[in-house]
Amino acid sequence: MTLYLGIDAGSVATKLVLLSDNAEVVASAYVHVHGKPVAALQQGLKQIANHVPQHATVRAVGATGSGRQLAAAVVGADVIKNEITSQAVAALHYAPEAQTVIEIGGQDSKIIILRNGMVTDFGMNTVCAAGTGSFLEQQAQRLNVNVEDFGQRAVHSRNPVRIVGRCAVFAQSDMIQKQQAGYPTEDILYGLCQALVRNYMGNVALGKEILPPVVFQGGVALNRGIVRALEEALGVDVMVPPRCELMGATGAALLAQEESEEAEAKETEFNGFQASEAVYRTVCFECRACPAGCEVSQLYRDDQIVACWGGRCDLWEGQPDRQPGMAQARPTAPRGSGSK
Amino acid sequence: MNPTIRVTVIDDSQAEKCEGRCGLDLSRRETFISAAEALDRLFAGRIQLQYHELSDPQVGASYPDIAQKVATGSLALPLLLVNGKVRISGYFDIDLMQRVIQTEMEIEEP
Repeated sequence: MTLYLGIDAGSVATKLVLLSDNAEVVASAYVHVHGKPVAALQQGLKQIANHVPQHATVRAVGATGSGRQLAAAVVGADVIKNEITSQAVAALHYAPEAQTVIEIGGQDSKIIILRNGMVTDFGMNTVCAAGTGSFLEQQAQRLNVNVEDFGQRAVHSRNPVRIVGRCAVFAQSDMIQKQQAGYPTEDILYGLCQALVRNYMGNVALGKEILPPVVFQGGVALNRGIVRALEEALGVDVMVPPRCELMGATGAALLAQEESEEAEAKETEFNGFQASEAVYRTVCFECRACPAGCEVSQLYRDDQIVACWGGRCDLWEGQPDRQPGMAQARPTAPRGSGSK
Repeated sequence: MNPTIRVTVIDDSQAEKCEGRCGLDLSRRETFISAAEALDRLFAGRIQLQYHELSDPQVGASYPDIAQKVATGSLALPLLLVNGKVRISGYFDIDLMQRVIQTEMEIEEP
C-alpha cells in the first residue's frame, strides 16, 4: 500500500493526514502547538505511526502552513507549499467546480477565488480576532457553553440578537450586555455567528467576487451556526467537505502525491516515523555575508545540522552544516523548540 | 536577479478607525520605516514598500477605482496591494504582510 503524508504546521495546531493512493484518509492527527512546534509535530507523527497498515510505505510528504519550513526539515518533505495553494487543491479535490473557498481557522481566515481550477485571487486575515475561531471559543467560555455544542445550540435560535462584529473586544462587551439583558443563550450564540460572518464579509472577503459553488473549510466550518449564518449572508448553499479542519494537510498530501507521480524515479525525502523520537533544536542568526542581513535558521537533530533556511540567496542552500564564518553569526532570540 | 516586488499600502489617516486599533498604522513615519526595514530583511531587498495617503486628493486621483470602492464601502482601509493587486483589505501586521507576500511570490514565481 502506498501512502502520502500531508502536514499543515499552523501557529495554533499542527494537522497531519495520511492519504492512500486513492486519496482516502488512512489516519489523521490534530495536535495543539502550545508554543512547541517541533514537539507538536513529533506527537502528531507518533499518533499517525500507530495507524500505518502493515507493509504500507510513505511515498511522499507535503508540508504547508506558517511553520512549513520547520516541519519539512523535521519530517523530510518532498513538497513545501503555501497555505493558499494547499487549501485550494484540497477544495478542488472534493468540489472540482468550486469557485470560492472560505477558510476560517482558530487564528486566521482566508478567501480563495478560483476560476477554472486556478487561483485567481486570495485574501487573508490574521489580525482581527473577531473574524476567527478563537473569538467564538472565548465567547463560548464566557457563556459557559462547550465549543463543540456551540453550533448545535446556535441553530435553534429564533430571534438572534445583534452583536457588534467589528472588533473582538467590543463584541465581548456587547455580548455581556445582551447576556445581562436576559436574552436566551441560543439567540446570543447565533448572534455571535452572524457577527463573525459580518466581520469576515467586511474584512477578508470585501471586494472579492464570491461565486458559487462555495466551499467552506477550516475548524470553524464544523460549527453549524456559522454555516447557516454564512449561507444567509451569501444567499447560496455552502459546501462543507468531510474532515474540513484538515484541508490544508490534505492539500499538502495531494500535492505530494501529484509530484511523486510526475517524478516516479525520485525517492522520498521522508525521514521516517522515527523522526518523532529525535531531539531537535533551532538556532537563528543574522547572515552578514552581504548587506541584506538575512535571518537564517539552522535546525539541529541530535547535535547535527540537518537543515537551513531563511537565506534569500543560495549561500546556505545545500550546505546546511556550513558554519557562519564569513557571515559573522549574531544569534537572535532562539526560535522553535527543542523537545524531549 | 529576482524582480522587485511592489508592496503598496493605501490608508486614510484622517478616517474613522476601528476602536480596537489592531494592526500597523503605516501613516506614522517611524512605523513605516521599521516595517520597510523588516520586509527588507525578510525578502533581501526585493520589496519596494510605498505608502499612499488617500486623504490627499492627488492620491485619490491616481487610484480612482480604489477611492470609489472605499467610498462605497466595498473595500476597507488600510489596503495592501502586492504588485498592484489588492491582497488585504483591513488591518494587518508584519506577520500577515510577510505571509501574503510569500504566497504571492510562490504563486507568481513557482
